[in-house]
Parts: sequence; C-alpha cells; structure tokens
Amino acid sequence: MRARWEILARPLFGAGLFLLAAPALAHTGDGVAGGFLSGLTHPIFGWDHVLAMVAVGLWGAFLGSPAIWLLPVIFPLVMAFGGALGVLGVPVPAVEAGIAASAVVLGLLVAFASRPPLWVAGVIVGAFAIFHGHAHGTEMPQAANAFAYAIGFVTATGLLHLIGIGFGLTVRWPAGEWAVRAGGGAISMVGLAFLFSVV
Amino acid sequence: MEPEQVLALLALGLILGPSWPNAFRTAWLVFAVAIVVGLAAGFALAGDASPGWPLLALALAAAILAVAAAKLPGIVTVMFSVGAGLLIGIASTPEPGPLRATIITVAGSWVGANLILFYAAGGVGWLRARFDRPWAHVGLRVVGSWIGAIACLMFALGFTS
Repeated sequence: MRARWEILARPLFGAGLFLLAAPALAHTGDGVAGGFLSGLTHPIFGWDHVLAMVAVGLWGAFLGSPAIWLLPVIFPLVMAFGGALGVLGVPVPAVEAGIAASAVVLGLLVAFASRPPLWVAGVIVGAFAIFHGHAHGTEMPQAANAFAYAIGFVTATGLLHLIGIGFGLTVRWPAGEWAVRAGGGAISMVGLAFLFSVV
Repeated sequence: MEPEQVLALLALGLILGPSWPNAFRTAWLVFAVAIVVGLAAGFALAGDASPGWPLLALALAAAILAVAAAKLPGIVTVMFSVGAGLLIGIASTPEPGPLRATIITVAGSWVGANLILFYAAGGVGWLRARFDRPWAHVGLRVVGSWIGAIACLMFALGFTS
C-alpha cells in the first residue's frame, strides 16, 4: 500500500512544484509566436468573455441545425468587426456592461430553452459579439504580430464555442438537457455578478 | 509571400473550390494571367503601390461569400480571380536588382501563388466530393468565417500601425 502511495506521490509532488512555479513571462507579444500566444490567451483570460462564448456554443447546440453552426460562424465575423472598431478607436458605449449582459442574456436563453426564429438568434449573438470584439480590439497589444495575433484570437474564440457545442450536444438525452439548462442558468448568474460589478 | 496574400488565396480557394474541376480551370487560367499583368504593373509603378489593404478587403469579401455558401455565377468568380491575381502580382514585385535574380523571384512568386490557389481550391473540391456530408459543408463555412475574421482584424491593425 505504501509503495502504491509513493508511486502516486512523486508525480503529484512534481506537478505541484510545476503549478507553484512563477511564469517566466518571456513572451511579451512580440514576434510571430508571441503574437499568436497573446491572441490565443486574450479571450481566455476574461471569465465574462469565456462564459458568453461558451454560452453561444451551448445555445447553438440547443437550437440544433442550422443554428449549431450558424451562431459560431456569425460570432467571430461580427466580433472581428467590433475588434476593428476598437482598434480604430471608434467608441462603443457600455462595452463592459454589454459583455456582462451577454452572459446574462445568453445564459437565460439556454436556461429557459428559448427557441426564437433563427434570424433573431443571429441578431442577438451578433449584437453581443460587437461588445466582445470592441473590448479585445481596444486592449490589443500594439507590439503583437498582427497576423499571428488574429489567428490566435480567432482560434481561441472558436475553441471556446466548440466547448459549448460539445457540452450542448448532450441535450439529446433528458439528463443532458437539464444539465445544459442548468449550465445556462449558472452562466447567467455569474454574468449577473459581473454586471453588478461594472454598473 | 505576405500573410495578406495567403489569406486572399485561401479565401479565393474557398469560393473556387465548389466549381472544381471544370469551372475552376477558367478562373485559374484568368488568375495566372492576371498575376503576370499585376507583376508588370508592379514594375511600372516601381514599388509605389501598396496592395495590402485591398487584398485584405478581397479576402474578407470572398470569405463572406464562402460563409454564405451561395452559388456564385461564373463572372463573379472570374472577377475575384482577376482582382486577386492583379493585387498579388503587384504585391510580389521584387526590388530592382540583377536580371537573373529578378526573373527567379518573379517566377517563384508566380508558381507559389498558383500552387497555393490550386491546393486550396482542390482541397475544398476534394473535401466536398469525398465527404458529401453536412459537417464538411459546415467546416468550410467555419473556415471561411475564421479567414474573414482574421482579414477584418488585420485590416484594422494595418490602419493603426
């Protein structure tokens, strides 16, 4: 028994040391690799962004075809447009509140199993994508390689949608549907907390 | 080859791929000739032209058409081929130098651009023919939206830098 514990303890100790280590922060956004990493991590380090993008995937999966692919196709395109507005310095009002509201609204739509017409779903997702894109565009590091940054940024967004779609596909089972709706409710609650902190 | 050129070629491949192989031949031939014209125009302009943002605009427009998955008339694909060929030709014009080096550079640019377009459109055509399933069409639309989003962001970043 003791030998088995030792076998487990050594890699766990090693993993613990790995987690405790401070990051070297060698990549400051310069160059191709730095630009890609900067773009890839940018959407992931904001929980309100993460929640909303996962919610888009969840809702798409919940609505089924063609929304399952249409919403994650609309979001990056419109988000990039919002990003362009942010980069160019075009002001958009209440960006942070809009991002938090996106998590609240999208989470509620999933929680209540809302099935509006496809064009309405597209307009809702597209409208919120503007806020997300604008925030990312405004905070975009000037030193980043534009091409690599854009690839990383779009890839991260797509992967977050994919996580939502993957979870959302469990709606075909009754337990899965309840889990997805509960997930939507949780996203909405967290979004509400973000909304109160920014308003 | 600059990122703007690669994006434009990939987006063009997405809209030419569905017409693979028959209608693609015409568009590809037009593209190949347009690059030569673009290279000649680039030499005439002596490097004064900067086709970066028009290439990104073309990539964005083609990507949106790929996302819409609309059946495009032949004239539209030919016009995109002409535009992409001209702009890539202008962008590929080398700096003045020895004749031999200039010829090799120009030939390399021409072959490289044609190969990328051939493989992009051929890959799309093959995917659609080999896997005639909804997920294949969805995947191509997602790729189109990502190319469009990248082009849009680069477009804005190009203005500020």
